[in-house]
Amino acid sequence: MSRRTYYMTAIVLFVPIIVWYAGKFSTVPVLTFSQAHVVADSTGDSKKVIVPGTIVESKGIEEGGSEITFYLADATEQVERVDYDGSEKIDPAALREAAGKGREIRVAGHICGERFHAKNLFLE
Amino acid sequence: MLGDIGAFLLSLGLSGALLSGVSYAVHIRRPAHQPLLNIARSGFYLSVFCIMIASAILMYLILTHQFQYHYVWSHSSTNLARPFLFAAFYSGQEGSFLLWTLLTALIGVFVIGYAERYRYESETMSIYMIVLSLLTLILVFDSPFETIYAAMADQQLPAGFVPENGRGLNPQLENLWITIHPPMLFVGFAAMTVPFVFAIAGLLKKEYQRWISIALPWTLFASMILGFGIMLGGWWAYETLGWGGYWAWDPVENSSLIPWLICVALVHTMLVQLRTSQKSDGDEQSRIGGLVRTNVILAVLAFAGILYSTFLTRSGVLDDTSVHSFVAPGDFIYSILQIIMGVFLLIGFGAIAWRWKDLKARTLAMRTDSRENWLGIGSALLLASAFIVTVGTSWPLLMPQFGQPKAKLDISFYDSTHIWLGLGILLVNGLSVILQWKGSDLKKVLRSLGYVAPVAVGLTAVTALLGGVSEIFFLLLLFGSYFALVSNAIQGYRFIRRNWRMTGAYVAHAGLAILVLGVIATSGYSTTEHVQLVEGEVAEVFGYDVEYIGPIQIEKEKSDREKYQHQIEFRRDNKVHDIRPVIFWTDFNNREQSFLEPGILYRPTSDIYVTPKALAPVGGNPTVVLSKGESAFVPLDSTYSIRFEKFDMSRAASDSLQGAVVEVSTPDTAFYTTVYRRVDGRYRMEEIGETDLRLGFAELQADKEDLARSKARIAMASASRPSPPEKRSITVDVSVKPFILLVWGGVIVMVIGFFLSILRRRRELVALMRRGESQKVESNND
Repeated sequence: MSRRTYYMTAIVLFVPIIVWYAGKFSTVPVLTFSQAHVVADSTGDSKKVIVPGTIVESKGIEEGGSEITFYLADATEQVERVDYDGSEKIDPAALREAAGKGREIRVAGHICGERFHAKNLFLE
Repeated sequence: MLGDIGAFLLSLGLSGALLSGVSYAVHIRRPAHQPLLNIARSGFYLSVFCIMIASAILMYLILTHQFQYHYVWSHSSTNLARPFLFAAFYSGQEGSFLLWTLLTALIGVFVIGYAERYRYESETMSIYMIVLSLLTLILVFDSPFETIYAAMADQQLPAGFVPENGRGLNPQLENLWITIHPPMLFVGFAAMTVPFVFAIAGLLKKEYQRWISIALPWTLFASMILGFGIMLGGWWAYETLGWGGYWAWDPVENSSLIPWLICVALVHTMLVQLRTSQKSDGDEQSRIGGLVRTNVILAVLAFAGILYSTFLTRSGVLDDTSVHSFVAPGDFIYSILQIIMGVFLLIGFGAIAWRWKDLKARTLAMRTDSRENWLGIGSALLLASAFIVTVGTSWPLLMPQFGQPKAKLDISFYDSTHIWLGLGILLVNGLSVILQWKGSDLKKVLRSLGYVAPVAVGLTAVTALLGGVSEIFFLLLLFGSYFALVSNAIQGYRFIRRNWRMTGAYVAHAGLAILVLGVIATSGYSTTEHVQLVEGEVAEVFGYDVEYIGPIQIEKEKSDREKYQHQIEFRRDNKVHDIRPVIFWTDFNNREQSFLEPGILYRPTSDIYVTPKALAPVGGNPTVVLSKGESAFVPLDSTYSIRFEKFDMSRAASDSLQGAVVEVSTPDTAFYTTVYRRVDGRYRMEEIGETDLRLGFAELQADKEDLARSKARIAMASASRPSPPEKRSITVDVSVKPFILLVWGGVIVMVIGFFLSILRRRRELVALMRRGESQKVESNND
């Protein structure tokens, strides 16, 4: 094989290996609100976490500027206010539909005082 | 009024740049048309003049506190000292783009003369003006001269409204290094345009060899300045951020590192092409050296790296993944930066594709034992590093594509990959300078290795023994560093007597080895003790008697902040060192969270680095730290004991209270009770049933790795007897950072090496061009 073939083979192997290897260092913990509060203790740690739960339909879904506010009940039925202001536009109608059907969603973000500040929202 | 003039000048500057760019582009096709060239030059100088005056106006508006302008209001205040008013110029998005544009324009003044000298003016400046036009276009639409009532139209401020004071500068930027570090980075960013435009010009002119000689000094300059700027950023982080180090693989840091790594790789591949060129009297095509395609691709990638870095840090895509996102995102910036990246990738790779078949080295294949072969391998390792850092930094962008939340990678990803890459780079660094160009005499190589390798092994062994280094990868890195250092020192010494300008590469390589030695020492052998220092009490830390003297309020004249130095004395052998970490609250973040700055005692062999963590009074009540299920006797009455059962977060959302469920055992009974603390750390002692005991939930010690192992600090007091008086205390991390001077020193040595190389290449270029001219004259005479 020529030197060029060696280099091309190395590159072709190197790229996916690095991407695969990087994946091993990317974890966002899936927690309940209670556990998320422990992470966001008074030291001001702002570690990103995922909280799965269902939207509490009776408390409503509010829109204000670029922010959507709703209440989420986690797996332990603990309810907290969630403010979402991520870059991806979320249609509140989709949230209402998820709330109506009691479907589980996931919010990713940080505990911020008495509320959960979500930057990502996954409507599975 | 002045703002309107500034905004107009930016628009005029854009017009001048566009006029210049178009005129230069047409002049390429009509080289004899002198008036066209004059128009192009006039357009360029008009653009430079407008950008300079617009920058001066913004500086004037900041210095004279004209808060009716949104940018001035957002980033400065009357409290700011003069140097930080200068820093306010580029602390926001619009100002930093203006600084970049200004520096690109000013560097253009040097490039235009330089390019003219080598008959590259129209080709280079036509591309250069596209860069300047697009940068100015950003400023026209995202102007630093917008008034506050226009920028905050939704608040219906009256026209002509002038706030009394500005919001001020981010307090973390109030550091003298910030007056140097960003300008230095932006000079590097602007300088990185030059190799790019010369590479494209070389493709346009089909001068695939000549552009290398012309662009090499600029490529070295960009590497030198950007490298120095990155180091200054590390120094600022070390002195200000209190995260305990100088490098944290943060996206903002990485985004400068990526183009620097590509640029340094480019320097080496350019050298390969230069040295493998046929020095015959043939034409340009017949003299092309190796890696000709690699060089144009890397020149494009280095510039694209700058644009991608800007996109990552200025578009807001990494908004919640960086520890220092100074700049607010914006949809316009997001789109325009994507367009700019697209334009230049299209120009760069379009030109390469256009000339691809032509771009062929005319030289023989490189020998395995040649220096150029190992320089190529070294460059490949640098590029691998750049790729790894790019993947890591871009990870938050990739994750949402797979339905995952944005999250940055753990820094152990970078550490674990760079240990091996670093070792490879050091070994290639040391070996390549021993080898000869175009092939080596194996006996000579072995003879050189025969004394370099044993000396490196000896130094590694001595360091390992004296420093207690035992980890295999640190030993390998130590060997690699000493190997590179000794090898370059010997080769450099040979040249220094003949021609000191020839030593640039050896000095720069030695600088890298010194830097890595510093990284090994500080990363692997820094030691930290977490201590709570109580006012008036002496603790022993690292052999020092350490005493917390107390807080001293500073900057009292500034009403927007409450700032305290916490005086801590370190005493040993009748010497007293005063170290003062700083904790402060400012209106900048509505005093919601404190800012922490480390106190540092600089010493030649190791720094003592004190990071403040928390302020909490002690004395008062005794406390005990318990894990779940753990119990302890109550010191006030040993017939009582308490056992920590679990945390109770049921009132966290509604009342901001965190609870700890505790089982209290007395000689007669046992029962459960819950004690609470507020999320901001405040707590009160609560009476426990019929007992004489009062308990408080003093601290939640979260274990981030395993939440189940988090601990609770429980305070105890007697209900009938008063508690002892409270004393001030500060909790700090005291670290000893050995040989951190090597980190700064290594970079400075590297910068000196780059500087020497610039001098050498500049001289060689002048000589080469003179030879070329005389040959042409001779052939014309023939």
